[in-house]
Amino acid sequence: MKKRIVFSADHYFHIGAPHLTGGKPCQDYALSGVCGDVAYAVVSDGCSTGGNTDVGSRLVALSTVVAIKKFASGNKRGERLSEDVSVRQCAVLAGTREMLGLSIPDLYATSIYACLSREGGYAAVHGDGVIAFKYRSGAMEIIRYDWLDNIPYYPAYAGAGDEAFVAAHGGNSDAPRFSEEHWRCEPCGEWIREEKKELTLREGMAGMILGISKEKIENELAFVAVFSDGITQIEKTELTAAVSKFMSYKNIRGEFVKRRSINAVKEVQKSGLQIMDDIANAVISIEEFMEEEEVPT
Amino acid sequence: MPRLLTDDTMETGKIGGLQKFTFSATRTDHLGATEYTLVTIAVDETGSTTGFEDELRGALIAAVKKCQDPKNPRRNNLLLRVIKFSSSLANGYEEIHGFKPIMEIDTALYPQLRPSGMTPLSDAGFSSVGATNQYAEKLTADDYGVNGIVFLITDGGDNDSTTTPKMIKDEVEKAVKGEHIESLVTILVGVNASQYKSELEAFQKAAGINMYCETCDLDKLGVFVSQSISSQSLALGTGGPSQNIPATI
Repeated sequence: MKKRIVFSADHYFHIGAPHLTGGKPCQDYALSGVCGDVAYAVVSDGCSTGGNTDVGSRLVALSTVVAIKKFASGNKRGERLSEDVSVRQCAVLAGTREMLGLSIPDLYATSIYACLSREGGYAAVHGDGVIAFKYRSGAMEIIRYDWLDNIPYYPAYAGAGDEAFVAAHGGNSDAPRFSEEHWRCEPCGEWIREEKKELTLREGMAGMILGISKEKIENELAFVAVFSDGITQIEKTELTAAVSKFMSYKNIRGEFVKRRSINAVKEVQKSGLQIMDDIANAVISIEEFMEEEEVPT
Repeated sequence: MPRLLTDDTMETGKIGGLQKFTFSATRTDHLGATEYTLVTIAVDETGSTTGFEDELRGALIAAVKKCQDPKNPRRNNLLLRVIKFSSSLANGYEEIHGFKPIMEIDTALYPQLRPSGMTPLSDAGFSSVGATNQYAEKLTADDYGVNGIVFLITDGGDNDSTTTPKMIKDEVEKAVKGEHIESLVTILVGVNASQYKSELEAFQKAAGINMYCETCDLDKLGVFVSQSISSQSLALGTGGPSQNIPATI
């Protein structure tokens, strides 16, 4: 019997304690959806020292979705597709910024997203954040991207702000200023942290693209999640524990990410801990059905 | 037990381990929202309702339709169970349908009420509160936010139950003390029941039911029920029950 892959997606964002008590808006934003054969999950984290980056993070996320919808149903995959998405995203951002009378610092916001079709897909990080994979076996994989001195590269810099950004990082594009950390966990096993990979400023500015093969989608993956770096800033909580908690879905109908995230936040607060930054997460779930099975709605 | 509006998205449960008390509800893996208000309407089908059974059914349908109104912001967060009760029914009560998303309910399928028999009011109350508690526990375990509201609509006092008001009270207290339901509002409604007022008020107190109100106007009953449902549903997430439920009909 033939297999069918069915995607669903959901997202959530939550204001962190300092913004809540300080009278500031949530500067993280998330979007997700399934458009034809393509599923997407997008988060954006506005820079707290930028301008109106609550607006910026929304525009970055929305422009990413517009770009994904425009290109993702075509035949391009992986890096070629991500380049097209980036170019389109920048064009949409520039036009919107002008129309709304926003400044460039208003758009200082990261762009972390995943985009899947039955033929394959990829996850991308422009700025900092976390990508997580949960497998049908129960195994998990977490990849965190981070910048030294907490100075991430934002898509809004493209073209106009590159020189100042390089200068802020010491002026050497080949210096190791960006890092990739990787954790793996087998079903019911312990988390294993792999060696931290140092990457150059140039590599970080280009953005990180993780290809996701058709075979992996068809046979292995259950969830692909993207998180803003707020997931690393829950008091006294390891990243692996935080991601595991946010991804322990009880069922995956409808607003499955919101349900789990709301309860994960409640559990954190109940234990007397604070969420020290805004958190956004967006997730694509991948379910396998036999051709004759009815797909739940 | 014959039921309407059920399908393979439903599952059944037993209340308090008692064989006689069962309920049905939508399987949680078919529910998409983040939170739900569990609504139960228990309608009297005893012999003494003869003559106004159509109005009772009409009030029930009006309340459901009002909840389904596109202007109701909580319409996708309501799960409704409707039961009718009478000693003529096999177990003293019968589900018209178990907990279902209110937007999936077709009120045209609601059966005519056929009044006969005596009043197992306590059994109806125990089924209503017990099923709410049990289903809420399951929903909470699956990450849904949950509160509840129960309406017991009767034209007379209990005279044929196997349970006691104390058993209802225990279930109500379980809901209040437990952590599986944020809040539960229980309302006993006397319809054309002014001669039983003191008996019903005594029942209300013994069963730990939040409020008793009465009416002879069944059009107003439908409005009261739908307003109370909306109000309790809007309170979900606040940590307590609605403070805006009208005290009278």
